[in-house]
Amino acid sequence: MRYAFKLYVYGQTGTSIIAERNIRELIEEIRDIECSLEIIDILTSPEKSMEDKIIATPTLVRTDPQPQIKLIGDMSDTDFLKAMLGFR
Amino acid sequence: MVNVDTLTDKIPTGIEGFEHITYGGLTTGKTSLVVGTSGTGKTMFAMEVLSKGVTIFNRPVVFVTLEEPSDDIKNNALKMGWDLDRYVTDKMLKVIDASPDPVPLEKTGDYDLSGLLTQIAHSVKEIKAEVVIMDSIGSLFYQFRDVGLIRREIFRIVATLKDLGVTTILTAERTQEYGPVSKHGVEEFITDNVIILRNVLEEEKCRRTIQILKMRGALHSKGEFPFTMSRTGIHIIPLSAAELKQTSSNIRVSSGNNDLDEMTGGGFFRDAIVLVSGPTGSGKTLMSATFTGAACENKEKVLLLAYEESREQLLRNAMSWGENFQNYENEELMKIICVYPEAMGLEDHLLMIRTEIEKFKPDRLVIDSVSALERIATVKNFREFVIGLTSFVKEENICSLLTSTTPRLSGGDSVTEQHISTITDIIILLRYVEINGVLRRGISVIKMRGSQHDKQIREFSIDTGGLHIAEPFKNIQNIVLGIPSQSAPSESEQLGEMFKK
Repeated sequence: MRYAFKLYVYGQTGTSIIAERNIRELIEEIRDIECSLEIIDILTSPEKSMEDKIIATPTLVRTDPQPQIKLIGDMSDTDFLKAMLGFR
Repeated sequence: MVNVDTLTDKIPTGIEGFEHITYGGLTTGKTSLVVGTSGTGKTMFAMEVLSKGVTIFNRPVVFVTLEEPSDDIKNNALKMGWDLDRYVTDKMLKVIDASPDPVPLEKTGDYDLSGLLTQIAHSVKEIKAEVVIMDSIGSLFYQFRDVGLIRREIFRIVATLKDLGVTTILTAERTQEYGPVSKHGVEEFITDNVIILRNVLEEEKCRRTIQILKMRGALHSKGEFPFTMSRTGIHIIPLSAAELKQTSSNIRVSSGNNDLDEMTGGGFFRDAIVLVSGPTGSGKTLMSATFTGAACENKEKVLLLAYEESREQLLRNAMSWGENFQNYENEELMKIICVYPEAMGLEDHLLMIRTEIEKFKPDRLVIDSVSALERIATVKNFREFVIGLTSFVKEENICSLLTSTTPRLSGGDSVTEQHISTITDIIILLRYVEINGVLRRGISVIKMRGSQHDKQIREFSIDTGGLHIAEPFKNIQNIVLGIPSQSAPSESEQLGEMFKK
Protein backbone atom coordinates (compact mmCIF):
# COMPACT_ATOMS: atom_id res chain seq x y z
CA MET A 1 0.00 0.00 0.00
CA ARG A 2 1.11 3.51 -0.79
CA TYR A 3 0.44 6.58 1.30
CA ALA A 4 0.37 10.18 0.13
CA PHE A 5 0.35 13.21 2.43
CA LYS A 6 0.10 16.93 2.02
CA LEU A 7 1.18 19.15 4.88
CA TYR A 8 0.05 22.78 4.81
CA VAL A 9 2.25 25.08 6.86
CA TYR A 10 2.42 28.83 7.40
CA GLY A 11 5.99 30.05 6.91
CA GLN A 12 8.60 29.25 9.48
CA THR A 13 6.29 29.49 12.47
CA GLY A 14 6.80 27.31 15.53
CA THR A 15 3.87 24.99 14.91
CA SER A 16 4.83 24.63 11.24
CA ILE A 17 8.38 23.57 12.03
CA ILE A 18 7.26 21.15 14.73
CA ALA A 19 4.56 19.62 12.53
CA GLU A 20 6.97 19.04 9.66
CA ARG A 21 9.53 17.46 12.00
CA ASN A 22 6.91 15.22 13.60
CA ILE A 23 5.53 13.96 10.33
CA ARG A 24 9.01 13.28 8.91
CA GLU A 25 9.87 11.30 12.04
CA LEU A 26 6.72 9.25 11.62
CA ILE A 27 7.52 8.43 8.00
CA GLU A 28 11.03 7.47 9.07
CA GLU A 29 9.59 5.16 11.72
CA ILE A 30 7.31 3.27 9.32
CA ARG A 31 9.93 2.93 6.57
CA ASP A 32 8.49 -0.38 5.31
CA ILE A 33 5.43 1.51 3.97
CA GLU A 34 5.88 3.68 0.90
CA CYS A 35 5.01 7.31 1.76
CA SER A 36 5.11 10.55 -0.19
CA LEU A 37 4.98 13.91 1.56
CA GLU A 38 4.38 17.28 -0.02
CA ILE A 39 4.99 20.38 2.08
CA ILE A 40 2.92 23.40 1.02
CA ASP A 41 3.73 26.78 2.48
CA ILE A 42 0.63 28.95 2.16
CA LEU A 43 2.61 32.04 3.13
CA THR A 44 4.56 31.84 -0.13
CA SER A 45 1.77 30.28 -2.22
CA PRO A 46 -1.48 31.64 -0.74
CA GLU A 47 -3.51 30.48 -3.75
CA LYS A 48 -3.03 26.90 -2.50
CA SER A 49 -4.97 27.77 0.66
CA MET A 50 -7.87 28.82 -1.55
CA GLU A 51 -7.77 25.71 -3.71
CA ASP A 52 -7.71 23.26 -0.85
CA LYS A 53 -9.83 25.31 1.57
CA ILE A 54 -7.29 25.44 4.34
CA ILE A 55 -8.63 27.16 7.45
CA ALA A 56 -6.23 26.07 10.18
CA THR A 57 -2.50 25.52 9.99
CA PRO A 58 -0.75 23.18 10.21
CA THR A 59 -3.13 20.87 8.35
CA LEU A 60 -2.19 17.38 7.28
CA VAL A 61 -4.26 15.77 4.52
CA ARG A 62 -3.95 12.08 3.70
CA THR A 63 -4.91 12.09 0.02
CA ASP A 64 -4.15 8.41 -0.50
CA PRO A 65 -5.55 5.90 0.33
CA GLN A 66 -9.19 6.95 0.41
CA PRO A 67 -11.06 8.10 2.39
CA GLN A 68 -9.38 11.42 2.80
CA ILE A 69 -8.32 12.25 6.33
CA LYS A 70 -7.70 15.78 7.62
CA LEU A 71 -5.74 16.51 10.76
CA ILE A 72 -4.93 19.85 12.27
CA GLY A 73 -2.26 20.77 14.80
CA ASP A 74 1.48 20.41 15.15
CA MET A 75 1.19 16.59 15.11
CA SER A 76 2.71 16.36 18.56
CA ASP A 77 0.23 13.72 19.73
CA THR A 78 2.06 10.98 17.82
CA ASP A 79 0.10 8.03 19.21
CA PHE A 80 -3.17 9.63 18.14
CA LEU A 81 -1.63 10.59 14.81
CA LYS A 82 -0.59 7.01 14.09
CA ALA A 83 -3.98 5.68 15.10
CA MET A 84 -5.78 8.21 12.87
CA LEU A 85 -3.61 7.43 9.88
CA GLY A 86 -4.07 3.71 10.36
CA PHE A 87 -0.51 2.77 11.30
CA ARG A 88 -1.44 0.62 14.24
CA MET B 1 -30.92 67.15 14.62
CA VAL B 2 -27.72 66.64 12.68
CA ASN B 3 -28.18 65.16 9.26
CA VAL B 4 -24.67 65.11 7.92
CA ASP B 5 -21.82 63.62 9.86
CA THR B 6 -18.74 65.12 8.34
CA LEU B 7 -16.30 63.87 10.96
CA THR B 8 -16.28 60.25 9.93
CA ASP B 9 -15.98 58.68 6.56
CA LYS B 10 -18.83 56.29 5.88
CA ILE B 11 -19.71 53.84 3.17
CA PRO B 12 -23.34 53.43 2.19
CA THR B 13 -24.78 49.93 2.51
CA GLY B 14 -27.68 50.28 0.10
CA ILE B 15 -30.08 48.89 2.68
CA GLU B 16 -33.22 50.99 2.66
CA GLY B 17 -33.26 53.27 5.68
CA PHE B 18 -29.88 52.18 7.03
CA GLU B 19 -28.06 55.24 5.77
CA HIS B 20 -30.72 57.34 7.39
CA ILE B 21 -30.33 55.89 10.87
CA THR B 22 -26.53 55.82 10.70
CA TYR B 23 -26.19 59.21 8.95
CA GLY B 24 -24.44 57.70 5.98
CA GLY B 25 -23.68 54.02 6.51
CA LEU B 26 -20.90 52.00 8.08
CA THR B 27 -17.69 53.69 9.14
CA THR B 28 -14.98 53.13 6.54
CA GLY B 29 -12.11 50.87 7.49
CA LYS B 30 -13.77 49.86 10.75
CA THR B 31 -15.23 46.61 12.00
CA SER B 32 -18.95 46.23 12.49
CA LEU B 33 -20.50 43.43 14.44
CA VAL B 34 -24.05 42.47 13.48
CA VAL B 35 -25.66 40.38 16.19
CA GLY B 36 -29.05 38.77 16.54
CA THR B 37 -30.76 35.60 17.67
CA SER B 38 -31.48 32.89 15.16
CA GLY B 39 -33.72 34.07 12.32
CA THR B 40 -33.34 37.81 12.84
CA GLY B 41 -31.92 38.44 9.38
CA LYS B 42 -28.17 38.59 9.96
CA THR B 43 -27.31 36.66 6.83
CA MET B 44 -29.85 38.68 4.85
CA PHE B 45 -28.22 41.86 6.11
CA ALA B 46 -24.81 40.57 5.10
CA MET B 47 -25.99 39.42 1.68
CA GLU B 48 -27.69 42.71 0.94
CA VAL B 49 -24.59 44.73 1.87
CA LEU B 50 -22.67 42.41 -0.45
CA SER B 51 -25.02 42.63 -3.41
CA LYS B 52 -25.84 46.32 -3.18
CA GLY B 53 -22.15 47.03 -2.67
CA VAL B 54 -21.27 45.25 -5.87
CA THR B 55 -24.20 46.30 -8.04
CA ILE B 56 -24.88 49.85 -6.88
CA PHE B 57 -21.61 51.11 -5.45
CA ASN B 58 -19.22 49.09 -7.62
CA ARG B 59 -17.40 47.93 -4.52
CA PRO B 60 -15.52 44.60 -4.56
CA VAL B 61 -16.42 42.34 -1.65
CA VAL B 62 -14.91 39.25 -0.04
CA PHE B 63 -17.56 37.05 1.52
CA VAL B 64 -16.50 34.41 4.02
CA THR B 65 -19.21 31.88 4.72
CA LEU B 66 -18.54 30.01 7.92
CA GLU B 67 -21.91 28.37 8.44
CA GLU B 68 -23.68 27.55 5.19
CA PRO B 69 -21.85 25.98 2.25
CA SER B 70 -21.24 28.49 -0.54
CA ASP B 71 -23.66 26.71 -2.89
CA ASP B 72 -26.50 27.22 -0.43
CA ILE B 73 -25.55 30.87 -0.05
CA LYS B 74 -25.54 31.32 -3.80
CA ASN B 75 -28.91 29.64 -4.23
CA ASN B 76 -30.50 31.73 -1.51
CA ALA B 77 -29.05 34.90 -2.99
CA LEU B 78 -30.40 33.99 -6.41
CA LYS B 79 -33.92 33.89 -4.96
CA MET B 80 -33.44 37.54 -4.07
CA GLY B 81 -32.20 38.22 -7.58
CA TRP B 82 -28.57 38.51 -6.58
CA ASP B 83 -26.38 36.52 -8.94
CA LEU B 84 -23.22 35.86 -6.95
CA ASP B 85 -21.67 33.73 -9.68
CA ARG B 86 -21.82 36.69 -12.02
CA TYR B 87 -20.16 38.94 -9.46
CA VAL B 88 -17.42 36.34 -9.13
CA THR B 89 -16.90 36.25 -12.91
CA ASP B 90 -16.79 40.04 -12.95
CA LYS B 91 -14.03 39.90 -10.30
CA MET B 92 -16.23 41.85 -7.91
CA LEU B 93 -16.66 39.05 -5.42
CA LYS B 94 -14.62 36.30 -3.83
CA VAL B 95 -16.46 33.70 -1.79
CA ILE B 96 -14.41 31.83 0.79
CA ASP B 97 -16.13 28.66 1.88
CA ALA B 98 -15.10 27.95 5.44
CA SER B 99 -18.27 26.10 6.33
CA PRO B 100 -17.84 22.99 8.46
CA ASP B 101 -15.96 20.27 6.58
CA PRO B 102 -17.86 17.04 5.95
CA VAL B 103 -14.57 15.28 6.69
CA PRO B 104 -14.24 15.56 10.45
CA LEU B 105 -11.24 17.54 11.61
CA GLU B 106 -9.14 15.81 14.22
CA LYS B 107 -6.82 17.76 16.41
CA THR B 108 -3.29 16.63 17.21
CA GLY B 109 -1.55 19.50 18.93
CA ASP B 110 -1.38 23.26 18.56
CA TYR B 111 -2.69 25.14 15.53
CA ASP B 112 -3.97 28.55 14.51
CA LEU B 113 -6.22 29.98 11.76
CA SER B 114 -3.46 31.25 9.50
CA GLY B 115 -5.09 29.34 6.66
CA LEU B 116 -8.29 31.37 6.88
CA LEU B 117 -6.35 34.58 7.36
CA THR B 118 -4.24 33.81 4.29
CA GLN B 119 -7.32 33.08 2.21
CA ILE B 120 -8.97 36.34 3.21
CA ALA B 121 -5.88 38.52 2.79
CA HIS B 122 -5.09 36.89 -0.56
CA SER B 123 -8.63 37.42 -1.83
CA VAL B 124 -8.70 41.05 -0.67
CA LYS B 125 -5.53 41.76 -2.63
CA GLU B 126 -6.67 39.83 -5.66
CA ILE B 127 -9.89 41.74 -6.30
CA LYS B 128 -8.89 44.90 -4.37
CA ALA B 129 -11.81 44.34 -2.03
CA GLU B 130 -13.09 47.23 0.04
CA VAL B 131 -15.41 45.19 2.21
CA VAL B 132 -15.00 41.83 3.94
CA ILE B 133 -18.04 40.06 5.34
CA MET B 134 -17.80 37.03 7.64
CA ASP B 135 -21.03 35.14 8.34
CA SER B 136 -21.13 34.00 11.07
CA ILE B 137 -18.13 33.89 13.33
CA GLY B 138 -20.00 31.84 15.93
CA SER B 139 -19.57 28.85 13.66
CA LEU B 140 -15.81 28.94 14.22
CA PHE B 141 -16.37 28.26 17.91
CA TYR B 142 -18.32 25.12 17.01
CA GLN B 143 -15.87 23.93 14.42
CA PHE B 144 -12.81 24.28 16.62
CA ARG B 145 -14.22 24.27 20.15
CA ASP B 146 -11.21 26.15 21.45
CA VAL B 147 -12.82 29.38 22.66
CA GLY B 148 -9.72 31.23 23.82
CA LEU B 149 -7.80 30.42 20.67
CA ILE B 150 -10.67 31.31 18.33
CA ARG B 151 -11.20 34.65 20.04
CA ARG B 152 -7.48 35.40 19.63
CA GLU B 153 -7.57 34.37 15.98
CA ILE B 154 -10.66 36.43 15.17
CA PHE B 155 -8.92 39.39 16.72
CA ARG B 156 -5.87 38.70 14.56
CA ILE B 157 -8.00 38.53 11.40
CA VAL B 158 -9.81 41.76 12.30
CA ALA B 159 -6.50 43.53 13.02
CA THR B 160 -5.04 42.35 9.70
CA LEU B 161 -8.10 43.57 7.80
CA LYS B 162 -7.85 46.93 9.52
CA ASP B 163 -4.24 47.18 8.36
CA LEU B 164 -5.41 46.44 4.85
CA GLY B 165 -7.88 49.31 5.19
CA VAL B 166 -11.00 47.30 4.44
CA THR B 167 -14.38 47.70 6.09
CA THR B 168 -15.31 44.52 7.91
CA ILE B 169 -18.71 43.16 8.81
CA LEU B 170 -18.98 40.20 11.15
CA THR B 171 -22.18 38.51 12.16
CA ALA B 172 -22.61 36.65 15.44
CA GLU B 173 -25.35 34.88 17.33
CA ARG B 174 -26.89 35.84 20.57
CA THR B 175 -29.11 33.82 22.85
CA GLN B 176 -31.56 36.41 24.16
CA GLU B 177 -33.24 39.44 22.58
CA TYR B 178 -32.39 41.55 25.58
CA GLY B 179 -29.29 40.17 27.22
CA PRO B 180 -25.59 39.76 26.54
CA VAL B 181 -24.65 41.34 23.21
CA SER B 182 -23.28 38.13 21.74
CA LYS B 183 -22.80 34.53 22.68
CA HIS B 184 -19.03 34.36 22.81
CA GLY B 185 -18.37 37.88 23.97
CA VAL B 186 -16.80 38.84 20.65
CA GLU B 187 -18.05 42.41 21.04
CA GLU B 188 -15.48 42.86 23.81
CA PHE B 189 -12.69 43.00 21.30
CA ILE B 190 -14.45 43.98 18.08
CA THR B 191 -15.40 47.30 19.44
CA ASP B 192 -15.93 49.74 16.58
CA ASN B 193 -19.59 49.28 15.73
CA VAL B 194 -22.28 47.03 17.14
CA ILE B 195 -25.62 46.56 15.35
CA ILE B 196 -28.36 44.50 16.96
CA LEU B 197 -31.16 42.84 14.99
CA ARG B 198 -34.19 41.67 16.93
CA ASN B 199 -37.28 39.63 16.24
CA VAL B 200 -39.46 40.06 19.29
CA LEU B 201 -42.77 38.38 19.90
CA GLU B 202 -45.03 40.94 21.53
CA GLU B 203 -48.68 40.24 22.23
CA GLU B 204 -48.54 37.40 19.69
CA LYS B 205 -47.13 39.70 17.04
CA CYS B 206 -43.66 39.50 15.61
CA ARG B 207 -41.79 42.72 15.43
CA ARG B 208 -38.39 43.08 13.81
CA THR B 209 -36.16 45.91 14.88
CA ILE B 210 -32.64 47.14 14.27
CA GLN B 211 -30.60 49.08 16.76
CA ILE B 212 -27.22 50.76 16.37
CA LEU B 213 -25.82 49.99 19.79
CA LYS B 214 -22.63 51.84 19.12
CA MET B 215 -20.70 53.42 16.33
CA ARG B 216 -17.40 54.57 17.63
CA GLY B 217 -16.51 58.14 16.82
CA ALA B 218 -19.57 58.64 14.64
CA LEU B 219 -23.06 59.96 15.09
CA HIS B 220 -26.03 57.67 14.69
CA SER B 221 -29.69 57.49 15.65
CA LYS B 222 -30.41 55.80 18.94
CA GLY B 223 -33.11 53.32 19.77
CA GLU B 224 -34.79 50.50 17.92
CA PHE B 225 -36.14 51.00 14.42
CA PRO B 226 -38.68 48.60 12.98
CA PHE B 227 -37.83 46.84 9.75
CA THR B 228 -39.30 44.30 7.45
CA MET B 229 -37.84 41.82 5.02
CA SER B 230 -39.25 41.39 1.54
CA ARG B 231 -38.19 39.82 -1.72
CA THR B 232 -36.01 42.80 -2.39
CA GLY B 233 -34.24 42.87 0.94
CA ILE B 234 -34.39 44.67 4.25
CA HIS B 235 -36.44 47.83 4.66
CA ILE B 236 -35.81 49.88 7.75
CA ILE B 237 -38.56 52.29 8.68
CA PRO B 238 -37.04 55.50 9.93
CA LEU B 239 -39.48 57.15 12.28
CA SER B 240 -38.31 60.67 11.72
CA ALA B 241 -38.04 60.39 7.96
CA ALA B 242 -38.55 63.89 6.78
CA GLU B 243 -38.96 66.12 9.76
CA LEU B 244 -36.95 68.95 8.31
CA LYS B 245 -37.44 68.47 4.62
CA GLN B 246 -41.18 69.00 4.61
CA THR B 247 -42.18 71.99 2.60
CA SER B 248 -45.60 73.47 3.00
CA SER B 249 -47.97 74.37 0.30
CA ASN B 250 -50.47 77.21 0.12
CA ILE B 251 -52.34 75.66 -2.75
CA ARG B 252 -55.68 74.26 -1.77
CA VAL B 253 -57.55 71.30 -3.16
CA SER B 254 -61.24 70.65 -2.92
CA SER B 255 -62.64 68.12 -0.51
CA GLY B 256 -65.31 67.41 -3.13
CA ASN B 257 -67.96 69.03 -1.00
CA ASN B 258 -68.61 72.75 -1.33
CA ASP B 259 -69.98 73.08 2.17
CA LEU B 260 -66.95 71.40 3.67
CA ASP B 261 -64.61 73.51 1.56
CA GLU B 262 -66.32 76.51 3.04
CA MET B 263 -65.95 75.17 6.57
CA THR B 264 -62.22 74.65 6.03
CA GLY B 265 -61.75 78.15 4.67
CA GLY B 266 -61.38 77.12 1.05
CA GLY B 267 -60.41 73.47 0.97
CA PHE B 268 -57.52 71.33 2.19
CA PHE B 269 -53.91 72.32 1.62
CA ARG B 270 -52.35 70.24 -1.12
CA ASP B 271 -49.87 68.52 1.22
CA ALA B 272 -52.23 68.16 4.17
CA ILE B 273 -52.98 65.05 6.14
CA VAL B 274 -56.67 64.95 6.95
CA LEU B 275 -58.12 62.75 9.63
CA VAL B 276 -61.84 62.05 9.52
CA SER B 277 -63.03 60.49 12.73
CA GLY B 278 -66.44 59.17 13.49
CA PRO B 279 -68.48 56.17 14.55
CA THR B 280 -69.49 53.52 12.10
CA GLY B 281 -72.04 54.66 9.52
CA SER B 282 -71.48 58.34 10.11
CA GLY B 283 -70.30 59.15 6.60
CA LYS B 284 -66.55 58.62 6.61
CA THR B 285 -66.48 56.41 3.55
CA LEU B 286 -68.79 58.83 1.78
CA MET B 287 -66.42 61.65 2.58
CA SER B 288 -63.48 59.73 1.20
CA ALA B 289 -65.49 58.89 -1.92
CA THR B 290 -66.30 62.53 -2.65
CA PHE B 291 -62.70 63.46 -1.94
CA THR B 292 -61.61 60.83 -4.45
CA GLY B 293 -64.19 61.93 -7.02
CA ALA B 294 -63.15 65.57 -6.80
CA ALA B 295 -59.52 64.65 -7.33
CA CYS B 296 -60.22 62.43 -10.33
CA GLU B 297 -62.47 65.07 -11.92
CA ASN B 298 -59.52 67.39 -11.55
CA LYS B 299 -57.30 64.78 -13.29
CA GLU B 300 -55.38 64.12 -10.11
CA LYS B 301 -54.38 60.55 -9.32
CA VAL B 302 -55.76 58.85 -6.24
CA LEU B 303 -54.57 55.75 -4.44
CA LEU B 304 -57.34 54.26 -2.32
CA LEU B 305 -56.61 51.64 0.31
CA ALA B 306 -59.63 49.92 1.75
CA TYR B 307 -59.23 47.79 4.84
CA GLU B 308 -62.88 47.33 5.71
CA GLU B 309 -64.70 46.71 2.45
CA SER B 310 -64.24 44.51 -0.54
CA ARG B 311 -63.69 45.98 -3.95
CA GLU B 312 -67.24 45.19 -5.08
CA GLN B 313 -68.81 46.75 -2.02
CA LEU B 314 -66.69 49.81 -2.46
CA LEU B 315 -67.60 50.25 -6.13
CA ARG B 316 -71.27 49.73 -5.42
CA ASN B 317 -71.36 52.17 -2.51
CA ALA B 318 -69.48 54.81 -4.43
CA MET B 319 -71.87 54.37 -7.34
CA SER B 320 -74.82 54.99 -5.03
CA TRP B 321 -73.32 58.39 -4.27
CA GLY B 322 -72.76 59.07 -7.94
CA GLU B 323 -69.04 58.33 -8.05
CA ASN B 324 -68.02 55.87 -10.74
CA PHE B 325 -64.71 54.49 -9.45
CA GLN B 326 -64.53 51.93 -12.22
CA ASN B 327 -64.33 54.69 -14.82
CA TYR B 328 -61.61 56.46 -12.91
CA GLU B 329 -59.65 53.24 -12.68
CA ASN B 330 -60.02 52.68 -16.40
CA GLU B 331 -58.66 56.15 -16.99
CA GLU B 332 -55.76 55.24 -14.67
CA LEU B 333 -56.62 58.13 -12.44
CA MET B 334 -57.33 55.81 -9.57
CA LYS B 335 -56.05 52.66 -8.03
CA ILE B 336 -58.03 50.69 -5.49
CA ILE B 337 -56.33 48.22 -3.20
CA CYS B 338 -58.44 46.13 -0.87
CA VAL B 339 -56.59 44.08 1.70
CA TYR B 340 -57.46 42.49 4.97
CA PRO B 341 -55.47 44.05 7.77
CA GLU B 342 -54.60 40.53 8.92
CA ALA B 343 -53.09 39.65 5.54
CA MET B 344 -49.67 40.80 6.67
CA GLY B 345 -47.73 42.52 9.40
CA LEU B 346 -47.91 46.25 9.85
CA GLU B 347 -44.39 46.85 8.57
CA ASP B 348 -45.33 44.96 5.43
CA HIS B 349 -48.46 47.09 5.06
CA LEU B 350 -46.32 50.19 5.27
CA LEU B 351 -43.87 48.78 2.79
CA MET B 352 -46.70 47.88 0.43
CA ILE B 353 -48.19 51.38 0.65
CA ARG B 354 -44.82 52.96 0.00
CA THR B 355 -44.14 50.67 -2.94
CA GLU B 356 -47.57 51.41 -4.42
CA ILE B 357 -47.08 55.14 -3.97
CA GLU B 358 -43.71 54.98 -5.66
CA LYS B 359 -45.17 52.97 -8.53
CA PHE B 360 -48.47 54.79 -9.03
CA LYS B 361 -47.28 58.28 -8.00
CA PRO B 362 -50.67 59.49 -6.76
CA ASP B 363 -51.49 63.09 -5.92
CA ARG B 364 -53.84 61.98 -3.20
CA LEU B 365 -54.08 59.07 -0.84
CA VAL B 366 -57.16 57.73 0.88
CA ILE B 367 -57.02 55.14 3.64
CA ASP B 368 -60.35 53.81 4.80
CA SER B 369 -59.87 53.12 7.61
CA VAL B 370 -56.54 53.49 9.27
CA SER B 371 -58.05 52.35 12.57
CA ALA B 372 -58.77 48.92 11.07
CA LEU B 373 -55.04 48.34 11.24
CA GLU B 374 -55.02 48.95 14.98
CA ARG B 375 -56.19 45.47 15.72
CA ILE B 376 -53.26 43.70 14.08
CA ALA B 377 -50.56 45.45 16.02
CA THR B 378 -49.40 46.51 19.41
CA VAL B 379 -49.84 50.14 20.37
CA LYS B 380 -46.12 50.81 19.96
CA ASN B 381 -46.05 49.14 16.60
CA PHE B 382 -49.10 51.05 15.43
CA ARG B 383 -47.62 54.37 16.47
CA GLU B 384 -44.50 53.62 14.46
CA PHE B 385 -46.63 52.72 11.49
CA VAL B 386 -48.60 55.94 11.64
CA ILE B 387 -45.47 58.07 12.02
CA GLY B 388 -43.71 56.18 9.24
CA LEU B 389 -46.69 56.54 6.92
CA THR B 390 -47.46 60.18 7.58
CA SER B 391 -43.86 61.30 7.32
CA PHE B 392 -43.57 59.47 4.01
CA VAL B 393 -46.70 60.97 2.46
CA LYS B 394 -45.63 64.41 3.69
CA GLU B 395 -42.33 63.99 1.99
CA GLU B 396 -44.07 63.00 -1.22
CA ASN B 397 -46.49 65.95 -0.95
CA ILE B 398 -49.55 63.78 -1.15
CA CYS B 399 -52.81 65.15 0.18
CA SER B 400 -54.01 62.29 2.34
CA LEU B 401 -57.36 61.55 3.83
CA LEU B 402 -57.36 58.97 6.60
CA THR B 403 -60.50 57.78 8.29
CA SER B 404 -60.74 56.49 11.81
CA THR B 405 -63.62 54.64 13.34
CA THR B 406 -64.34 55.52 16.92
CA PRO B 407 -64.78 52.59 19.27
CA ARG B 408 -68.21 53.67 20.48
CA LEU B 409 -71.19 54.92 18.52
CA SER B 410 -71.31 58.04 20.60
CA GLY B 411 -67.75 58.94 19.75
CA GLY B 412 -64.76 58.87 22.03
CA ASP B 413 -61.09 58.47 21.29
CA SER B 414 -59.54 55.63 19.37
CA VAL B 415 -55.90 54.63 19.53
CA THR B 416 -55.55 56.06 16.05
CA GLU B 417 -56.56 59.51 17.17
CA GLN B 418 -54.22 59.50 20.12
CA HIS B 419 -51.24 58.79 17.92
CA ILE B 420 -52.23 60.54 14.79
CA SER B 421 -53.79 63.77 15.95
CA THR B 422 -50.55 65.66 16.46
CA ILE B 423 -49.30 64.64 13.04
CA THR B 424 -52.40 65.54 11.10
CA ASP B 425 -53.05 68.99 9.72
CA ILE B 426 -56.81 68.79 9.64
CA ILE B 427 -59.15 66.87 11.91
CA ILE B 428 -62.80 66.50 11.04
CA LEU B 429 -65.17 64.96 13.55
CA LEU B 430 -68.40 63.27 12.59
CA ARG B 431 -70.79 62.58 15.46
CA TYR B 432 -74.27 61.27 16.10
CA VAL B 433 -76.38 63.74 18.03
CA GLU B 434 -79.52 62.63 19.78
CA ILE B 435 -82.10 65.37 20.08
CA ASN B 436 -85.56 64.67 21.37
CA GLY B 437 -85.25 60.99 20.57
CA VAL B 438 -84.08 61.54 17.00
CA LEU B 439 -80.56 60.74 15.78
CA ARG B 440 -79.01 63.52 13.79
CA ARG B 441 -75.52 63.96 12.46
CA GLY B 442 -73.01 66.62 13.35
CA ILE B 443 -69.78 67.66 11.66
CA SER B 444 -67.04 69.84 13.02
CA VAL B 445 -63.59 70.91 11.91
CA ILE B 446 -61.68 70.88 15.16
CA LYS B 447 -58.23 71.58 13.81
CA MET B 448 -56.85 73.15 10.68
CA ARG B 449 -53.22 74.07 10.55
CA GLY B 450 -52.35 77.36 8.93
CA SER B 451 -55.88 78.43 8.10
CA GLN B 452 -59.04 79.84 9.54
CA HIS B 453 -61.90 77.42 9.75
CA ASP B 454 -65.48 77.15 10.90
CA LYS B 455 -65.51 76.37 14.61
CA GLN B 456 -69.16 75.48 14.86
CA ILE B 457 -70.69 72.08 14.99
CA ARG B 458 -73.00 71.85 12.06
CA GLU B 459 -75.73 69.45 11.26
CA PHE B 460 -75.40 67.42 8.10
CA SER B 461 -77.48 64.89 6.22
CA ILE B 462 -76.73 62.18 3.69
CA ASP B 463 -78.80 61.43 0.61
CA THR B 464 -78.14 60.17 -2.90
CA GLY B 465 -76.58 63.51 -3.75
CA GLY B 466 -73.99 62.98 -1.02
CA LEU B 467 -73.31 64.93 2.08
CA HIS B 468 -75.12 68.19 2.83
CA ILE B 469 -73.98 70.46 5.59
CA ALA B 470 -76.61 72.70 7.14
CA GLU B 471 -76.86 75.09 10.06
CA PRO B 472 -74.98 74.81 13.35
CA PHE B 473 -76.72 73.01 16.17
CA LYS B 474 -78.27 75.45 18.55
CA ASN B 475 -78.58 75.00 22.26
CA ILE B 476 -76.91 71.59 22.30
CA GLN B 477 -73.83 70.97 24.38
CA ASN B 478 -71.09 68.33 24.60
CA ILE B 479 -71.64 66.84 21.16
CA VAL B 480 -67.94 66.15 20.65
CA LEU B 481 -67.74 64.35 23.96
CA GLY B 482 -70.56 62.12 22.83
CA ILE B 483 -73.01 63.26 25.51
CA PRO B 484 -75.16 65.88 23.82
CA SER B 485 -77.49 67.74 26.13
CA GLN B 486 -79.87 70.57 25.55
CA SER B 487 -79.28 73.96 27.05
CA ALA B 488 -81.57 76.91 27.35
CA PRO B 489 -81.30 79.39 24.47
CA SER B 490 -79.23 82.42 25.30
CA GLU B 491 -80.92 85.73 26.05
CA SER B 492 -79.95 87.31 22.74
CA GLU B 493 -81.29 84.37 20.82
CA GLN B 494 -84.55 84.53 22.70
CA LEU B 495 -84.79 88.22 21.89
CA GLY B 496 -83.97 87.50 18.26
CA GLU B 497 -86.70 84.90 18.08
CA MET B 498 -89.16 87.37 19.56
CA PHE B 499 -88.48 89.99 16.92
CA LYS B 500 -88.80 87.45 14.13
CA LYS B 501 -92.35 86.93 15.07
